[in-house]
Amino acid sequence: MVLARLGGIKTKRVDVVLERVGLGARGLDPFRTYSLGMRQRLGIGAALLPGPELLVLDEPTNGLDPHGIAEIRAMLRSFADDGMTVFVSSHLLSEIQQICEHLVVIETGRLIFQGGVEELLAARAPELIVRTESREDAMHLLQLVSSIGRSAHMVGDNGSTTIEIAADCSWAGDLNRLAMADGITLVHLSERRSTLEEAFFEITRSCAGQTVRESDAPRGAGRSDRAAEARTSEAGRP
Amino acid sequence: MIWRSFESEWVKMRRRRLWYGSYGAITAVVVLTTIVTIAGALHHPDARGDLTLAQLAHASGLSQGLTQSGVLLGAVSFSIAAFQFGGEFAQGTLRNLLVRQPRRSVLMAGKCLAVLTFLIGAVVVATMVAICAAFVMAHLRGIPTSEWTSGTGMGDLGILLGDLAISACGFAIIGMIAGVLLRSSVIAIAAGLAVLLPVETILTDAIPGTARWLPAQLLEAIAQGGSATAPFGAALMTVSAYVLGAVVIAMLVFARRDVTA
Repeated sequence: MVLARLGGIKTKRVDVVLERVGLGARGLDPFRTYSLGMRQRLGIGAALLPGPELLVLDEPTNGLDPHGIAEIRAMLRSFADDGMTVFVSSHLLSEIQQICEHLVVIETGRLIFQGGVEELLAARAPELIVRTESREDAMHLLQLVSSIGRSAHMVGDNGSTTIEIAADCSWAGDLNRLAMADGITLVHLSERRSTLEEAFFEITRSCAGQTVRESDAPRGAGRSDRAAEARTSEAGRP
Repeated sequence: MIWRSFESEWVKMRRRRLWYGSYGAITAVVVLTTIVTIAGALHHPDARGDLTLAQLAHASGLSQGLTQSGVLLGAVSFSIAAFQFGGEFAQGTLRNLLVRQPRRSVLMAGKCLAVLTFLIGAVVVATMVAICAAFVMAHLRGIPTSEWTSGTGMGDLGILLGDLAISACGFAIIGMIAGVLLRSSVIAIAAGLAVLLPVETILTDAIPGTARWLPAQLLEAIAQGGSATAPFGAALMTVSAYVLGAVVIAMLVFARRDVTA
């Protein structure tokens, strides 16, 4: 109410915003009785008072428990679904990966990437994780895969039966048939997609010492010249 | 713009705890002083020239008790204002306010006006209650009150009410400045009261003539309608100069200093 009066915003809007951030039933309760997540939502509600088209949030999930993080995540998603552009600055890359569609990565003040999340994830190729019944089978499969030009390597210690192969899930069927033809039984086969964190380290390593690099993503897809790092847009989520 | 800031500050000041606490404290101070003054009045004049029952029966008798409440009223006003301003820094709410109203001078002016109107209201309420208490005490001590309700008596009371309000506002403005400069309500109240009450009193006793220059002494003189050492007009002029200078400094500091809380 204080901020609404200060901003010349109709006081009816306060109830609308409180409802929007899930505090409609607690609107008259004292602030000191709010949990950290509720306080965070109240802060976001204050930013929503003038009905912005663009919402800029700095570390919105900082210090929250998993339940609170999930609430904030769902709320930001709903804002984007309603047509609002949400700019989130965060160091929690796993959170960013879950809620954002477009990214701006800044390291030590330098813009090193801007574009779609999938585009950044593609910076690190997906891998097939394969586990065989025995070490011998694993070694044999490694030779087979390498012989047809696929990059692969053993994972873990000397007794390991796990292989990582540079390929996506579309090659999983071929791999399975290849193994079966040579009498190798696979006990595990899955695709491991790179996380945003891994992709981040990949591009920061490759960009070390270089000048600013931008992806070929549309200019409007993640425009920023400041420290904001990710953007949830009104467009549908991949 | 200032009106919005004024309105928004009043939203906070309408909180029951602040309302009852502030109005209760100010009323208690004024009523208590009035009761003690009338209760302590002598039947016959003494060598020290203390207040007598006969003097209280005059038209200005009703104002006598209220007059003595200037310093205590000032201390409470100072504390409320310092709390309202210093608390914004300490609680981290100032940043939110500045998001809605980035023009800091406008925000400060609106808040200042709101606090002053809040205190003037408190002084008026306290005076009304103290008048009732004064009539009860007069009845108990057998003081005739017909002169109190005369035109002269009411005129004196009106002037006194104005003087008390000016004095309370002066203390409040100093409190706001302390809150803005020290950025903490606790530090502002502790440091401010220490300087305005004991330190000034010691200086006044130790160095003759300093009462004409020290802000709390001048504001006390204003509350009493002027004193021998600080006539009303001179006290008002000096305090106005102090307040103006301090407000300019506080505005500049508030406008330029980074808000980190």
